[in-house]
Amino acid sequence: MMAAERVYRALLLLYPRRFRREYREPMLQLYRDARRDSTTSWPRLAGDVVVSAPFQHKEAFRAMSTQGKLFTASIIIGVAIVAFMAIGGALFALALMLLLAWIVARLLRERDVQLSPRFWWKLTVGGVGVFAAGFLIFAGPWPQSWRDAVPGELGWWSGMFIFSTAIVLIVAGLLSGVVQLAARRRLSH
Amino acid sequence: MPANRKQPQPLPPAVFHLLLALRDGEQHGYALMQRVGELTDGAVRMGPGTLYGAIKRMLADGLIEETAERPDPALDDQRRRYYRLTATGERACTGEVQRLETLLRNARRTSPKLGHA
Repeated sequence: MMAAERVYRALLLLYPRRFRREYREPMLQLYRDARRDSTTSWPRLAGDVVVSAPFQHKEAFRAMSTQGKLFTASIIIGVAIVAFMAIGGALFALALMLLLAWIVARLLRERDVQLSPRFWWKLTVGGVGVFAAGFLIFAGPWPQSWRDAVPGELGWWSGMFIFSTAIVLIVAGLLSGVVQLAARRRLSH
Repeated sequence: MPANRKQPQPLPPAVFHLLLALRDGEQHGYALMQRVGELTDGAVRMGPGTLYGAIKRMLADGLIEETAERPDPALDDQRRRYYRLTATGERACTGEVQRLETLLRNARRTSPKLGHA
């Protein structure tokens, strides 16, 4: 069996089970006929699966009993909540870092600390440098015996510290760049 | 004016294309796909999912039926499924053709610029 047909077979899993049970074999036969005669391209056949499978799921949902609909809806909502929390967690961390950077920038301004025009650039490059160093430390081609010598917890916490510092530096650098740019525009008007 | 309840309802394009293709006689999935391509000058190329999705709905609506007969069993794969029009399917197809003819006639009457093909 060709790899393309294997992928197509796998794509058929996107259809509801009942539809698959009924039409999987005729669809595969049609796929083979179409590929043999080169009447339809593979991307078009794959695209057809992606377009028609959701419609079959909608039809299957319509045909369900009320309990079945409630059960399916609760699963979909549960998955959506978990996905939302995962994305929300990342957004929350980003918001926290932005807030931290804003507080630092404000403190600097209140104390009338004159920042050089290249301050933001230095912070950002510093952050990228720390990130690269961290990457080298943790993913470098070091012998296994060196890796084993470092206790797991120490590695985890030092990694957290290095990468968090790098991200804070990058975010703070970019933020202060935006602040400086805005201040310069305000002065020029 | 109240809508006439006996007016035939528009058929989904995929269903109408398949009904037209089956007017030539019973056919299997791949032959139907090719026939639809011919009927539409290659503008509509149904994929397996769209084709069997429409077939499933047409079977449920009684527009077509599966047939166990084979035009020539010696020349054909026994695993293929053949379909044919039912009397309901014939009526639905004729009704859709008439509906479209009426629509085109009225459109041409009110907008002469549409012209004839």
